[in-house]
Amino acid sequence: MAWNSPLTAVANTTLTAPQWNLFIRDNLNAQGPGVAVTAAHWLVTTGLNSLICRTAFISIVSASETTPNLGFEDLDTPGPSVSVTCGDKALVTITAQISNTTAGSGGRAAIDMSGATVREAAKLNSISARSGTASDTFRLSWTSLYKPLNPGDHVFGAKYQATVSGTARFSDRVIAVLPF
Amino acid sequence: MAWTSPTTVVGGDLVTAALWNTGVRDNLNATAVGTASAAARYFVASAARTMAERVPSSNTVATSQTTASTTYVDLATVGPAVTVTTGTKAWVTVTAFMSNNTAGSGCRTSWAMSGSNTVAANDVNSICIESPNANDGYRFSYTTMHDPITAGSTTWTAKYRAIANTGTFSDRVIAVIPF
Repeated sequence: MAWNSPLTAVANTTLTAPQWNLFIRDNLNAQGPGVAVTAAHWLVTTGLNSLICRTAFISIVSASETTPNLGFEDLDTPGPSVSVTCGDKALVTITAQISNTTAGSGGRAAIDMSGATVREAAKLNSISARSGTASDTFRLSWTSLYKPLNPGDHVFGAKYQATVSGTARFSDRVIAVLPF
Repeated sequence: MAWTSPTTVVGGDLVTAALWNTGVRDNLNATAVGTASAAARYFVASAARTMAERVPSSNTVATSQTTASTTYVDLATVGPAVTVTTGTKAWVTVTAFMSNNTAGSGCRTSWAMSGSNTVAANDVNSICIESPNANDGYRFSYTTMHDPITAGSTTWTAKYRAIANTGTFSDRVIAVIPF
């Protein structure tokens, strides 16, 4: 429901039904309680005098899988992945447990974003671990605010790569997104 | 626009122009919808019956740079840094890829605050690596909430130190969600 700048009343004028409907009914319907439809959502702005409900999303893939590839790719079980409607910002977290069979090598898990905004998996959007001891294992998270985004539907997925050499293993993989 | 507790009317009352302007117009203008100025922001209470619009922010410096300082310093490319208007709480995340050239050594990434709040970089608000292997490298985040801080405009700037020897830092990010 659209917002209308409230009427400034003048003494001895009559409040009409259309005025009530525009300035009371419609403006109240544009407020939080009028917009809220589901529990555990929060209100964010979509522009001047405009609110919408958003909620957080999470996806988990527990499977322990490997790759020897030095370029980003899906594992045998792709993901995790969440589909989210965003404004121009989103808080994104990726988590995974990482190890590599070869001393001096490692693995990297990155967010791969598609949809209204495309931002492919890259070092800057990743967690990574590289150890001088073979099979050292680390469970790490990376959190950042993605901005600016093109408002609309996005898919946040995960891609994986080995680093240096060897075979990287990834398990307990999580993506969580809080859209604005 | 200030909020005024709405009048309770009884049968036969006359709703005057003044009553409308204070109780309806001004109160509607004080709501989140009346205050919302741009997209992708959210509202918090800044005081009793008062809403404030907040804007989350982040910044990135990808450059790989080093320091051998064992106290927190800027790297050759300062930052990243963000300046954010907050109330008395803020959610902060710092991220970096870190390694050290010497076995048994490590490094840390933290942040310093300036502006409405002055806080030096410290180990409590940091990510850290310390490895028995030279040049092991890791990228990950630390997230915490400042509570309380002084409401106002605060700048968060990433700072770096080696535990010993030379630390290398790259793909550096700081993000702040203000309340």
